[in-house]
Formats: sequence, C-alpha cells, structure tokens
Amino acid sequence: MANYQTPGMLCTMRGGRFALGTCQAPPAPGPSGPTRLETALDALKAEVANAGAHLALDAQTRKAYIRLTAEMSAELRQAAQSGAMTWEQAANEAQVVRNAIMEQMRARTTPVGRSLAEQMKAEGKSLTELVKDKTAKLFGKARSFEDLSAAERDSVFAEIVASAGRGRPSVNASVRVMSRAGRGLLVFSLAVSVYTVATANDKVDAAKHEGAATLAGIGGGIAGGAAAGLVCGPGAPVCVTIGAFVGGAMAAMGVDYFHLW
Amino acid sequence: MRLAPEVSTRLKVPLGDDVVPVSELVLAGRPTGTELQGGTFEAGVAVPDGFLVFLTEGVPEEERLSIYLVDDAGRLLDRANIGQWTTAAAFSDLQIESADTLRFRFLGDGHWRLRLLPGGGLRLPLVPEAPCVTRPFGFTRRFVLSTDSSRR
Repeated sequence: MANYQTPGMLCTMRGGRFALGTCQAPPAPGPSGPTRLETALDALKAEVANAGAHLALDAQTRKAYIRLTAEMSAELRQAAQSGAMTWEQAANEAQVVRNAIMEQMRARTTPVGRSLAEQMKAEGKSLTELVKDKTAKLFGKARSFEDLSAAERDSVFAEIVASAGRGRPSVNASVRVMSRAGRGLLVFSLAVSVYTVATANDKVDAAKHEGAATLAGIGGGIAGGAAAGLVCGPGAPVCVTIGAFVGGAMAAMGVDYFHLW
Repeated sequence: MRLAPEVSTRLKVPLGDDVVPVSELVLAGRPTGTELQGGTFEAGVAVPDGFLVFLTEGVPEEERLSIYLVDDAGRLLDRANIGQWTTAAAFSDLQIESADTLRFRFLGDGHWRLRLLPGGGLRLPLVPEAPCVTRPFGFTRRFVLSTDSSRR
C-alpha cells in the first residue's frame, strides 16, 4: 500500500488502483512546513525589523560621531587654554582628529549608511581657507588674518576648534527622526512576533522561529547591502539599499525554506 | 544670468548645535519676509524674472548648500539642497556659462551645473537628479542640477 498525491488530493493505492473512499485533501502545513503566505509574511516582518535595525544602528553611530567630535573639540580647547599646546596646533589637530573619527564611524555604519556618506569625495576647505573664513566672520571682511593681534588670531583658531566639534544641525534633526522611526519599526516587529508566539499552538517552536526569522532578516540585510556594495561600489545607495532589502527577504525566507530553527 | 549684488540675506536664527540657521532674503536692501534655511550667504544671481540665492549652513566639515529660486518679489519658486553626511564641502568658483546655465564647485572633485528650465519641468519625488541632491517632496522643478564629479 502506498500513498499517492494527485493534484490537490492525497489517495491510498491498493493493488495498483486508487482505493475508493481514501482520497482526501492533504494535511494543512503545520509547524514543520509554513505555507507560502506564512513565508511571505515572515519575510515582510523580517524586512520591517531589517529597516528598523538599519535606521537605529545608523542613528546610534551618528550620535557617537557627534559625541566624539564634541569631546575632541573640548579636550583640544582645554589643552590650548592650559598652555599644553598653542591654539594653532589645536586647530590643526582638530582637523586631523575629526577626519580620523569620521573614518572610524563610517566603518561602524550599515552598508546603506556608508553608501550615503560616500557617494562623492569631500571638497573641504584647507586650514588656510578656514582661517580666512573665520577671520571674516569674527572681524569682518575688511580685516585680514595677518593684521590681527596675537589674541585675535587665537580667537580665530579657537573658532576652528569649536567648529570641528559641531555636526550639521540639519543632519542631527534627520537623525532624531531616523532614530525614532528605527526604534518604532523594531518595536512593531517585536510586537507582531510576540502576538504570533502568543497565539501559536507550539509556543516554544514559534518563539524559535520568530527569533530566527527576525535575526536572519537583519543579518541578511546587512550582508546583502555589503555584497551589493562590493558589486556596485560603496557610494551607490540605491544599489546597496536594494541589496539590503533582497538580502533581508532571502535570509528570512531561507529560515522557513530550510527550517532553520 | 548675471551676478546680483542687490541680493543679500539677514541672519534671523543663528547656527546652534541642533538649530538650523535661518536667514531672511533681502532684495536691493529691502527685507522680503522670505525665510531661507542657511546662515552663510554665498552668492546671488539674477535670472529672468527672479534670482537664485546660494546659502550654506555654516559647518564646513559637513557643509550643505541650499539653492533657492525666487521671483522678483522674493517669493519662493523652487529649492534644492546639496550635501552629504560627514563630508566636508565648500562653495567656490561660481561661473555663469550661458543665459540659462551656471556652474560652481561644492562637493566632489568636479563642477556642479545648474540649468534653468524656462517653463518648469516634471520630476519624480524622492528620486534625486544627481547624487547628494535633495528637494522637498513634489513633482515639479524650475531648475535642474547635475555634476561631472566622479563617484568614489
């Protein structure tokens, strides 16, 4: 006796024939086999967590960047005030250290965040240009740096040190929105998972599955973004974002397909 | 197009750690009441029936350029921003190329070009016309930005 599945029905064979009255609909997929709809919903949930994690991670990195540059600026100001270094040395140091902090922070951002920060090369001002700008700002365009007294020159360098510890306020405002949105998406994703576990027959299995799908979505998103960055180059935010989206969805669906929980 | 010395701005809200500076547009010495984001006036250019105004936020290590097109009375017609996170940028080398096109340096290793669209043009919202360009949500534009800078 063997079971054979005809389209849409499962029947028992006896003596080479379908046994009458044995055909029935195949059992609904249980915990061992999610339906396509369930897999798609898992991918959607994972994408919500993926997007939330990207936003929250990059917002945190930005906050760290602002904190570190502000601390650097305050330390250099203190060093110059105490006489440990001249204001000119502090201004030079501020430019170098800020660039180092920026590189360090870029390495900590998500591939999507990094691609947004690396689309184009910097076209910054040299220290000489900054000195000229700050002189005009503090003392008017009519005066040149060479005409300033020693104390006035120090105030120009002090302004450069202070400026190096500042982030662009319009970015800071965007990051606050990003941070809230990211946390909101993560909380929403968590709430949906909690509901799914609470209403499941096998709560332990459901909890494992939810955890695996969410983590895979986030990890897959990071990996997909990084892989897209390798293919398209780091400064290609559209390509990297698509990579992160596809990576997150594939990882979440892979959890269901391969039953990885 | 011509450089317009009659265009200037007056700082209304100074730059703060979390405060975007705001300036009021001044045309021929008369305040217009039009508020523009940005604390450092970079340039004004006269165009047919209006002016282009270039302002930066005032953070050289992470600068953003705001470009505004206003009519003769200072009413806002279009705007766009250029800027990139954690990237230094400086406005320089503004040159008028033709009656409807100018170029300047800002972010990147090449030039930016701004071309006026006399009758206006359509655009896709949220789709930047060039890298690092952002605009408010909308479907129309009065000028278009492009760059010959190489990608990193």
